Amino acid sequence: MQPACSREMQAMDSLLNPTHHLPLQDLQIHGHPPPQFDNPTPSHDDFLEQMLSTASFPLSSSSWSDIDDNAFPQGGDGGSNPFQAMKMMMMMQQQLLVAGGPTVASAAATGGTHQGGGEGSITSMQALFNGFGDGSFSHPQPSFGAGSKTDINQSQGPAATTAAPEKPKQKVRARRGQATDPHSIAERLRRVRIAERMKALQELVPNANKTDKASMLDEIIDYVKFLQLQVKVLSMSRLGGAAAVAPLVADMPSEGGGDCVQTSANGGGVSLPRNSNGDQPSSANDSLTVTEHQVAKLMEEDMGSAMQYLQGKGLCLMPISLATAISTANSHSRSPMINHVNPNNGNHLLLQSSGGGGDGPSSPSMSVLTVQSATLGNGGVDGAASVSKP
Amino acid sequence: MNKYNPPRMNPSSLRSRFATRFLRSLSKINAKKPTASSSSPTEIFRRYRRIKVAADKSMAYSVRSRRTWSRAMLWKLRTRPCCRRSVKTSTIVRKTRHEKQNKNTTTTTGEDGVVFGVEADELRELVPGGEAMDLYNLLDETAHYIKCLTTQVQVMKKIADFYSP
Repeated sequence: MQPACSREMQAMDSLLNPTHHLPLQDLQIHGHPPPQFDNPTPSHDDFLEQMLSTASFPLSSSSWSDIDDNAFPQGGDGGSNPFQAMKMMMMMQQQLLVAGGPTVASAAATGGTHQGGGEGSITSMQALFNGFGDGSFSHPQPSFGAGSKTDINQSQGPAATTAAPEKPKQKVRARRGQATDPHSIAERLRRVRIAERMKALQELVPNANKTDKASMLDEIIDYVKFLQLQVKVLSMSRLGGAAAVAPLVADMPSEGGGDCVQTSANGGGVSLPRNSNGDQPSSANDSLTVTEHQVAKLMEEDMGSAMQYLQGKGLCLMPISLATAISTANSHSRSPMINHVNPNNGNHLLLQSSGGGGDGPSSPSMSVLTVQSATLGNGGVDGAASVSKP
Repeated sequence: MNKYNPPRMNPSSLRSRFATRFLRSLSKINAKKPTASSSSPTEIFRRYRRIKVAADKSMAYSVRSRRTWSRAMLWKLRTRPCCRRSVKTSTIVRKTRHEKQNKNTTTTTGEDGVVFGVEADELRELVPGGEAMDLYNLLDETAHYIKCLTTQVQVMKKIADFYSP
């Protein structure tokens, strides 16, 4: 069908060309006077009228179908047979009726250059045919449409199917179980990249037992929080330079009770005003430091009143071993904070203990621990520590 | 005669850059501090803030602007002390609004987004400048941020150990 179509296209182009090679020959054969071709625009109508008037051809659908199946031997050349030219025009109209112009062009699939001309010619052809409005043509048209529809469809069907599978063959053949959709490809690539990043992060973060991504991300978040906390703590411990004590800094008791865990050289075990939410550190810090300072003042005067003050606030003092025991018991998910602290043996963020309330302020430095008994659920032990030097 | 050769440090490593900057800022702070009173709570708190800001700032400057988080941190540090001025507040407000809009638009979608919905937001809050990043870049920034934080902690620890008996 394709070669026939292309030939038809060529015929159409030659038919409606202003050069009028074909119609000239036809007219000469039929003996029509050539001066009718002086004006090119109405010459199409004239030519068609001549074709219709002179030629007598059967209009039955069966004959048309036979004609359709035949390959046109002389479609593009002089076309000495006006019958053939007429046939071609009817063919084009059939295709117009059945499938419309664009599908004819796509069924051809080869004549890219012909398509534009073909479509233009088809539309002009249809305009010409409509302009006639002859009863002789109006009658056979539906029969054409009905009769040759199947043929046209059949002819176009294999053409279409041959055209269609050519396209996907150019695409990448998909692996089994995966789609070639560009969206899914992009998704897959994105997932791979994210997995790479997670692996890189896993090496940085200790406790990297990668079970799944969500828990890994939780670990990462905890570790970042822990590091930020350590920076805060270290910056606090450096207040006042060498061994100066500030209410915000908990120092290692030099004698210390047996409960003290802090072993770093500077004795700068520090605990920290820890916030329940890290979003507003400044305001929460302020509130906690005020408490600490109050406690520190009270401690200087009287230990008992300090304890009472703390208890009024819902805080208490306890030895560090007890504190760690309680915190590990309560905080299941957040124990990494404490676990990180202990093995590092660096500056412990926690909670130092006093050597016992009864010893009195004989030791040069005393650590005081406050633990919020309420919430241990978020991030280890929430606590604030204050130190007062007698 | 045995000469003691201190272990060679890479002079351009992150660690050395941060250490030099931080020590310089610490000496500046110490020079400024009044010798008498460091016992008033607000004064101490202020000192603490100054030191922490110095640490963060020196870390951010060591990274320059190569990373999104360092740029965000530098911006934050620059505009924070000048909050009082109305001009700056307007810019701050505009930026936070812009960041919030970015946050709305950059919610992680897709299969991974469903998994990382809550945690990604939390991570965004932790890492400075993380609000306006998609998950992939966020993870990248987090890795670098963790590396820098560990360096910072190590250097500060060593300084603290060195200076207090």
